[in-house]
Amino acid sequence: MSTPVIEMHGLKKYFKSGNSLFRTKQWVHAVDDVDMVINKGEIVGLVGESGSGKTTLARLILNLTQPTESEILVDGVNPRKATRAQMRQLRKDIAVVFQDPGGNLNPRQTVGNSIMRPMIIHGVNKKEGYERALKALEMVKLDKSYMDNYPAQLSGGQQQRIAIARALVLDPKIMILDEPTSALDISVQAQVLNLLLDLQEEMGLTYMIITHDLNIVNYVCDRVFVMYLGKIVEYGSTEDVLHRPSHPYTKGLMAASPILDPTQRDKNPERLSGDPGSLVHLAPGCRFAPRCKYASDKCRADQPQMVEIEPGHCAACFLDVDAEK
Amino acid sequence: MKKKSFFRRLVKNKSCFIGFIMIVLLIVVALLDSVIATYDYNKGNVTDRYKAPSAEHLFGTDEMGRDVFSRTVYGTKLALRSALLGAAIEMAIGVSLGLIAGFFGKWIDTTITFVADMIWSLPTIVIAMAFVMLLGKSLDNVIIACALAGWPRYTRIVRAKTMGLKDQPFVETGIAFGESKAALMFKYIFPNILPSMLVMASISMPGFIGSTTTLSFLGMGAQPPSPDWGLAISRGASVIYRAPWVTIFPCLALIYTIIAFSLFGEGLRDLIDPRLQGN
Repeated sequence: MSTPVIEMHGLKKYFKSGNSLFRTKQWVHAVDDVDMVINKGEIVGLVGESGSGKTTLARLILNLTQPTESEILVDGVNPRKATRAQMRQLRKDIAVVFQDPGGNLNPRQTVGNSIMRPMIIHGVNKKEGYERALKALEMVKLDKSYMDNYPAQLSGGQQQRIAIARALVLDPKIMILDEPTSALDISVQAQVLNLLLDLQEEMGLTYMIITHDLNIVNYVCDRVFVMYLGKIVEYGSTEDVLHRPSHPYTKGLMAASPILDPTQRDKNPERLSGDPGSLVHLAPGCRFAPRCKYASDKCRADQPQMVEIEPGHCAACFLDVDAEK
Repeated sequence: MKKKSFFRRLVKNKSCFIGFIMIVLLIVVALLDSVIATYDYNKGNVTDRYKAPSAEHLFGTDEMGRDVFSRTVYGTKLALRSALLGAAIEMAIGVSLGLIAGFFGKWIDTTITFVADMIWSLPTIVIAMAFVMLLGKSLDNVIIACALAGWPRYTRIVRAKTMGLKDQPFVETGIAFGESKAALMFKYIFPNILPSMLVMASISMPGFIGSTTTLSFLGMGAQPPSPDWGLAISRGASVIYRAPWVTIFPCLALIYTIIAFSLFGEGLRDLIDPRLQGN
């Protein structure tokens, strides 16, 4: 059952910053020592605040940027060492939808051409491509009359659905969805999520969904990874992580989602304060320590290691370890 | 529908519309030169030299007794040809180098930017003169030389735009789908910078006509007996007090042409890409 499709161990991506004549070189630790295994047929959620390195991680998997250290195996293939044919296959197998609906489509290409383009690259003839493009439009509940429109003539939600349709046309095995539904209104969001779930059931797709929205995670994801300042702080099954969060940051994230009952608002003790801080000037200890109300001197001095709390549920926090002792 | 509304906006923008009409007139004159001109540009009667404008010779005659009106009309084609051909060559060089520099970055970018900045830091006319000296004196060489001296203006803008577009999600998605580098450049990035390039071209055209005429004036471009305006102005300059018409009429034609392209270009810029203003 568990064949890994995406595998990474100790993955690092640092960006250079402030590299000028009069300043010392600094590094932005966008992705720092990340271990992640995604199995075939899984829907994995990746959550975390803005600037925690989620999109960088996605770009690394897509081979849009090269890791500073370690490597990624996609379907057992390392994209950096792949042959031309393997690379072609990889490009066909992984599809992506980025978060910005306006920027996802080429402004000078009609919707039809945008959807057909990936098929043409991979050798589908024009006529069949057209048929499949129509089918894909139907799947995302858009009228086929949009084929000849330019993206600027459509709404953000329509653009995003077209981006999803385009990602689907090549029958990918893996889909990386970066905030796929944040530009959609609630009803369309539900449609798109259900569509993704249906496809997953039919074709055994593997998804990695990057999102802020914990409701989406709860609704579609099998497993969740929580990321904070370039590091994974907790992961496990959706059930475990969302209902029995262990890391103080995950607890804070839960507390930050809107509470429907007005009388219960402002009572949650775990709510996060402050901002994530900088990825450049990192303290030696736990990255969350400056914002963590449970932080001890140990937290400020050492980095906590990933510890398994219950089967398949891990967190990187000293508190859990101490509690067990 | 989109095209129609664009045309309507074009008509509404006064400077663009006036410039457009002026250019159309120019093109008509250039195409019908042999019909409009009353005399052959190269035949004159030496006994008729420096005749003042009259019914017989509308703009008077020059030092060889040739009809200045006919020569000015024939010169239109040369001026338009150098403007269009020159802008096309300049744009082709500038845009492709800008695309390459912006897309590939690293040492390729550094090299191209260095050369572009070097050329750009010197006066265009001086660079163009150096190229003409290398290539030999002729109008065609003047056009090539001016293009070789002027391409950095495109490279700088195209490079900046390419670098911005390269990080757009739609380009990254293209990479993720396995687009080739050439397809990314020409199908994804280039169509998105083309409109502003056309604006740039029409704005830089007056300057281009100015440069080529200047070089002809300096004796590096068109050679006698060509009806080129720059050449005519330079030959008339020595007798400007005795026979001002020899200089004045080609000058007016030149000014008219430059105003026409300036009005059109600036109007077009306001219509298509207001952000280019002040460049």
